[in-house]
Amino acid sequence: MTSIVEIIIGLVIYPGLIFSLAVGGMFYWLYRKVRARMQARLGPPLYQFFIDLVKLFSKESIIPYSGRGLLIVLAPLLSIIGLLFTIIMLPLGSAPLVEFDESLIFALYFLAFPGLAMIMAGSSSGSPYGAVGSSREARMMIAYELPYTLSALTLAFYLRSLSLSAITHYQFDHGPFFFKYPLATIVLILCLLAKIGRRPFDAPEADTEIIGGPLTEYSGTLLGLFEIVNGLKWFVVPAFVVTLFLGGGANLIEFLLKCFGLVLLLSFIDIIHPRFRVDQGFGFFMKWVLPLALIDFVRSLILP
Amino acid sequence: MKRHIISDALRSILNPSTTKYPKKSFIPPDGYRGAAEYDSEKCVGCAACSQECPSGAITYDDEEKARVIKLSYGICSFCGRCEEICPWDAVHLTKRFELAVFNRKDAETGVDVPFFECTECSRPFFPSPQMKASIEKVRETLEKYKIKQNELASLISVCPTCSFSVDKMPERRMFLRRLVE
Amino acid sequence: MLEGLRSFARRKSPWIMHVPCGGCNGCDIEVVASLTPRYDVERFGVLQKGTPRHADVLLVTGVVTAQVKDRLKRLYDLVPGPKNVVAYGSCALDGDIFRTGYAFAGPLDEVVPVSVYIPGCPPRPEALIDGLSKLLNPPTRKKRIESEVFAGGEAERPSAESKDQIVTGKREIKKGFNEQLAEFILFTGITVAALGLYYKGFDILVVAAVFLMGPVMKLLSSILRR
Repeated sequence: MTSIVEIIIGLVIYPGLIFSLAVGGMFYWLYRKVRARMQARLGPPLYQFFIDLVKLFSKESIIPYSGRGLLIVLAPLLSIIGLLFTIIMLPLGSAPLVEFDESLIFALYFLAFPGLAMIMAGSSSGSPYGAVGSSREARMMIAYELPYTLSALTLAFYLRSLSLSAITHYQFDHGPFFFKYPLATIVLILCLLAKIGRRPFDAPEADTEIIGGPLTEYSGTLLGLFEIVNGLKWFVVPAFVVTLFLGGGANLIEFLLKCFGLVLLLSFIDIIHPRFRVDQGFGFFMKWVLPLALIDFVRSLILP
Repeated sequence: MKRHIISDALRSILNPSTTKYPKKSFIPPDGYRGAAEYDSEKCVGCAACSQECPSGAITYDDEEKARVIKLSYGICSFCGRCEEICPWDAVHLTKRFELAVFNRKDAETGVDVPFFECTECSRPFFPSPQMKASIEKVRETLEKYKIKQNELASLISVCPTCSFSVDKMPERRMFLRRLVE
Repeated sequence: MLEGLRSFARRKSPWIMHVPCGGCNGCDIEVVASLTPRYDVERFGVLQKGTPRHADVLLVTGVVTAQVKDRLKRLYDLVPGPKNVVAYGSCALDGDIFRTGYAFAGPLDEVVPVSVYIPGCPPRPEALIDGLSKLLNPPTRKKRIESEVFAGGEAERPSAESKDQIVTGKREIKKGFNEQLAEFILFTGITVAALGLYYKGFDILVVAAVFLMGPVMKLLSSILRR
């Protein structure tokens, strides 16, 4: 059992807040730059994400009169805590910081926090745009959480164990799970797009339809916290997929390279697609993604 | 279905079509209507531009020693009618488009036209280049009539107050009778 | 030092909100055109946001009518400080041709305090970039007096920034392509070298140092080139 000091250092510095924010900020910049270049224009410079954070922290934050003050401040903090607790359970490189037997269930639980926090933020901010945004986010969460959990649980049923370290050790010996369950990998990557909130499933945060979505009434420091959540999501969520299906990585550099490739793939899918409506996205997940997840799930139940 | 989008996107990764504007200056094409400028050598002070301007951006003010013509960029709509109408070619729309200012009063341009003094009472009353131009035109026209131009010129260069004094009246009447014959 | 960092951050990421009051919409088309790939303002960190609570700079176009005046005051109050207002186009300055109309409710600075005025009908997207750069990097007092003299109508403005001549389009693109190809090969080489060192058995800190040499060299070259 690791000591409490190591856990705190792990939460804050490595692989916690500072490291994930730096790497996540780089991945977010990569997404914006690839998107700009594919649209035949120059993109923002390298430090753009961090400079945005500094600027947002130096503005005044206004809490609207008709909103509930406590929930407005609690929402981004909740998602940051959820993401950080996930990252200390993932084995980056060799061994995770905190190791116990049911870490897959804990990771799935903590990774649902950002979506719930956005629903909370939208409905507690007291403006109609926020309410519409949070109802859209709730609808998309119902759609993508089920296939996401199913494809993560195919591995659990195959290995008869719920621990993330067992998954990575199996992948060191026998090769990544991508070759054994390709359908589950594709399902998980599609659910990733909805989780980070990018096209074609970014209806909750649509900028041109509902003016800011759930984040309409946020300003200054609180918006800076949500930008931190965005940056963290770009690292933690691909890291989760790389651990489960793409073979972990024997050391940190290989892990980061695999995350890099996955981020490029996600950016590519985002750039060439327009935005789905909410009911189109819901229908897509129910009609096409859920049957694929069920096929692989049943395969892992029946076949040894 | 999406093949042309993907191929377009991949082809334009290394070929951005952004202009290099702040680092390299940009010169608009010929015929571009930018900010208007007055040529103080040619401007006569007739204020035809202010009669013509559709939005009323050009105003003129007769001060003590000069006529001040002012063109305010905040009202100007850059249409070019002042350049069309000016008989002396003194207004031109240049290619200058970087006009951002910090005070509203700075966004204007203009020209000061000095006045011409009366030969009798030495009070300035009329823009001097216009006076000279008028005298030139009059000389050309009257060459056919072989009337002494100097006499006419001296009659013109008098301010309205002085020219209607009683002792000038007979001379003017004689002059006009000779002109009509 | 913290103050320097804060002002650097405010200069490098202005988020704008575009507020069209009643006008002919010519200036609105130019604002939207400056977000297209040809004049890309996103390379300066400018993002267009829909809500005033996220914005730093209010970009007001069009003439202020009696209907819009109160709503404009409320929008200005919603923007969190420190904030700036940019009056874009001659309509926002003094009314342009709508000055004698029935709906004209005064120039913009009688409604909200304005920082930069950009005359034009409509101003080019390059004029918008120029106005934004004057807002974010205001010249010193001496240079500011000179720039006021320019706006007062002196002769041709000497272009101090560009020392190179205008080349034809084709030659420009080829030069950029070679430069970028060289950078791409350099970065790939550094990455391969770093990975090779790692698999030879060197310590990870050495590998990270080799890997970081690429961005450091790029940073140094861009600082020295300026």
